[in-house]
Amino acid sequence: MMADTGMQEYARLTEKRVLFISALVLILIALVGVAVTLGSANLPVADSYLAILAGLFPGAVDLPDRMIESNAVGIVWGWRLHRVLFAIVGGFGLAIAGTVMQGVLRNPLASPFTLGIASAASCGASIAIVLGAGFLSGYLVIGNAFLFAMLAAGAIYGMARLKGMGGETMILAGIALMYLFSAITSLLQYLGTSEKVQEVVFWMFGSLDKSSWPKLTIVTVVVAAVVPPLLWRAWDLNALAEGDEVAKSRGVPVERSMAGFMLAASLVTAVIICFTGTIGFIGLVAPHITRMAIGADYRTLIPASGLVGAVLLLGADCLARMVVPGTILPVGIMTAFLGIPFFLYLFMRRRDA
Amino acid sequence: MTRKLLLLACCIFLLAGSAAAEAVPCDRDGSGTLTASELAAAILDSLDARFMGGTVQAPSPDDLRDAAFVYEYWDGKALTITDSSGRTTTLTRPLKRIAVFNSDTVEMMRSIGVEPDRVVGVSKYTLDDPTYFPEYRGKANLGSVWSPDYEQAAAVRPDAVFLYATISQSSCDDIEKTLASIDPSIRFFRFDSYRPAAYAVEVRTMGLLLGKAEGAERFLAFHGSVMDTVAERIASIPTDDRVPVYLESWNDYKSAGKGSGYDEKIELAGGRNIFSDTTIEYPTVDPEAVISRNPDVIVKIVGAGELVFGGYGDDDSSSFKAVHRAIESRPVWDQIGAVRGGRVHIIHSDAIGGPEYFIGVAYMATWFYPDLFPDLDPRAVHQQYLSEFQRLDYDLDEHGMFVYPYDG
Amino acid sequence: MAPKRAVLLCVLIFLFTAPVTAVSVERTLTSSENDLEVTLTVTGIPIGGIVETIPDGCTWAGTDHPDDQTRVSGQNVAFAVIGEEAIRYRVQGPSEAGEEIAGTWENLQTGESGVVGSDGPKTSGEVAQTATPTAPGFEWAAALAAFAVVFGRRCRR
Repeated sequence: MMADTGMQEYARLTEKRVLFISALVLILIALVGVAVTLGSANLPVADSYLAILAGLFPGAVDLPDRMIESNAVGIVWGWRLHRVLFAIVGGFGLAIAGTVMQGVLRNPLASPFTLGIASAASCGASIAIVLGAGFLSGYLVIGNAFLFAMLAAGAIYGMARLKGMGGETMILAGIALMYLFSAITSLLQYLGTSEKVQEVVFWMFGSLDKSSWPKLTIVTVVVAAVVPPLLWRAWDLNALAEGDEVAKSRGVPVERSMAGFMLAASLVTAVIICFTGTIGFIGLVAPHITRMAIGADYRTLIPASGLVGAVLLLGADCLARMVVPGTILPVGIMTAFLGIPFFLYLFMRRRDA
Repeated sequence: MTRKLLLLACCIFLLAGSAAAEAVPCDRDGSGTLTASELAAAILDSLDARFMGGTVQAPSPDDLRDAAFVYEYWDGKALTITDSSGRTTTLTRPLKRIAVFNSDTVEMMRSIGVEPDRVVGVSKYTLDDPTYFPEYRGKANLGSVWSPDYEQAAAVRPDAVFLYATISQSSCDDIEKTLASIDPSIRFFRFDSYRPAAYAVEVRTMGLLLGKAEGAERFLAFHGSVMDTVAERIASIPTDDRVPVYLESWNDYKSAGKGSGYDEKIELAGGRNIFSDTTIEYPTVDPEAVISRNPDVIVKIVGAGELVFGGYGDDDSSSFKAVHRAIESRPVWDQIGAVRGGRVHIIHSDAIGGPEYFIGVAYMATWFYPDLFPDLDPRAVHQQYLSEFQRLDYDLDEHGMFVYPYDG
Repeated sequence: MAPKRAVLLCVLIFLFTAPVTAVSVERTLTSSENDLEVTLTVTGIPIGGIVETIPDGCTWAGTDHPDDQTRVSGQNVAFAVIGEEAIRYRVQGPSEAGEEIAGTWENLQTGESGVVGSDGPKTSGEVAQTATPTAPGFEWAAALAAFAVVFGRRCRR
């Protein structure tokens, strides 16, 4: 009897998950369809789709004169398409990083930036912009942002190993790092000329303006390399969520797992934000929404929240391009605004025990 | 894979459209030089085909006009030009659709006589200033270098894009990469158009590039009449006798240190910046340091930050007066030579920054050494710049607020 | 200030009138016996083209314009102008026929063209601005719908 209701409930849960994921995929496809038509070049909707086809099968499509005049193919393939795909992959990656962080730190309000990675990346970018100093000449800002972010992750790992790998230790270390890097960034802004400060500020807003096909390829490769191992190990996250002792008793190498998960999440975050600047809230909101919808089993939570993240970031980018006609708001500002209804909702739902 | 497809697509309709020839237009023997007889033959063929019922293969009107330009301004040869970032570009056709992200460059182009028709897109800062750039009001809005609008930039189909050379290099690099992937036929040029050291070279290069060499020389003669005169007369003053100057930007106590633009301009005007030993470009200085270094002249810049008034859109001197009084009444500052001698001057950033910097240098030279420059009238220089070279119908006697105090 | 302004005004007038001279091609005729000598005076066209149509009854009699810059075809003659300010040519025929010579000129620098003998250009060169077609309000509707779905999902519990 009990087994039956248990299995029924489980079946219903599985059904809910399948529906959820399918709905997300459909929404994503619809959003892509809308996103490629958006832009101040005012291309007619049909032209945008025709341009995609013309790029995929060059020579096979007969382009009308107005499309050659407006360079629709160049605009769609050289500017819009890789941006849309970057939003998807970036949102996917940030959301998964956030999910993993929330699992490792056992804190539903954790995000990829809780451990100071965003501040570190901003600091690296500021050094590159204001001082012109960096590691990879020709890619100063990107290289610095990535390396400083990984530096922060490494520092957290080092500090945690020193003091014991616990959620609280990591958060404390993260806060310390955040203050350190913020202070350096502020100092650089003080020393810099107004143009350089403007560049730093714009970088920190977070935007998809600087995406390109090579950058998209790099991010996709990294995300594709990191996510399958994460999924393979997702059960460990479930165990960790129960507590260290429980996890250990299940045979999960707690310290190593936490380090591995944290580094994986940091890597994905770093590789995304070094190209886009700090885009917040996706890594915080997506896993939360997904958990509310389909429960906290990390084996489905990870991919599902990835999809939610992709939808959120692409949706935010579409809004950012439409809300003020003629200008593109940085997508990081849009995601920050999206955080507001979310937190209000959480606030309203609270029932203090 | 997708990148190759994109390149293929671009190639296909570059070929389908008009031929983007790399050869000098109408150069029949392919020698690389368009001779007078080749040009004549092209003109005659075109006239023949259009008016005399001829059946010759005539050059297209675009080719013919491009050939006329190349012959007239580039000696019939392809032009190889080096911009301010050191990049060399070779052109065989004139630039007809220019997108300019740098409003200082738009101003410099106007000085040498470039027609507004040739500019198809400008930055939002240019559009935000209709008093100074009225004829560019209808142009496409390209955004700014830090937040560019790529779709607008692509939609106007420019053949050339002008960016900054020494500032915001990573943003400019990003703009180049993205626009090049949208339209590989766009050429990129980087000019600062405001740095005193590179000014004359940039004016000449732009003149050659845009077929306005004559206009460039005429403008440089005017520019030289100010800058060369100032340089000559201050050359005889030994460094120790140079007037000590304290310069303050629109933020209180924010001065200019070594290597900053203002420091350079003070030196060009013959002054000695009392904070030129500071390596920070824009240091916030200690008010007591100003008192102890005792400058003879104080120059205060307004026009941005909290002191955003004055300039071309403002006719009122009261805000300038208030700033002047505030400086003079700073505690213990009445001990400073500049305040005691009544040599505190307010100047608007438009007159001392950007391509108009030489007007600011002229003003400063007359403030530092009034005896050496009795014949230099910076206001007249400014007016000539506006009327003759900027082609603006703007009367400085009636409008605009740039310096205080000013005794006409 | 007043004398300086007067000087400035004179300078401005001088400078403004200099480059903005009228662009034109004028024709003057001198007849002698059976010959008509036609002189075309070119102003403001550094590089351009002129086509003259000689009325029937007149025959072409030569020019001192360079050979490779002249082309005769039937009753029409085309001249390529490269820096010249005057073109002289001779036509054999009655002097009244001189009045019936018609011609058009073209300025290849500015794209302007006009009729020989009248003042000013007939058509001016233009720089065509590519017209961008406006898109329907599809994006708004679709984006709002998509957004509504996402929000709808989240609020459902």
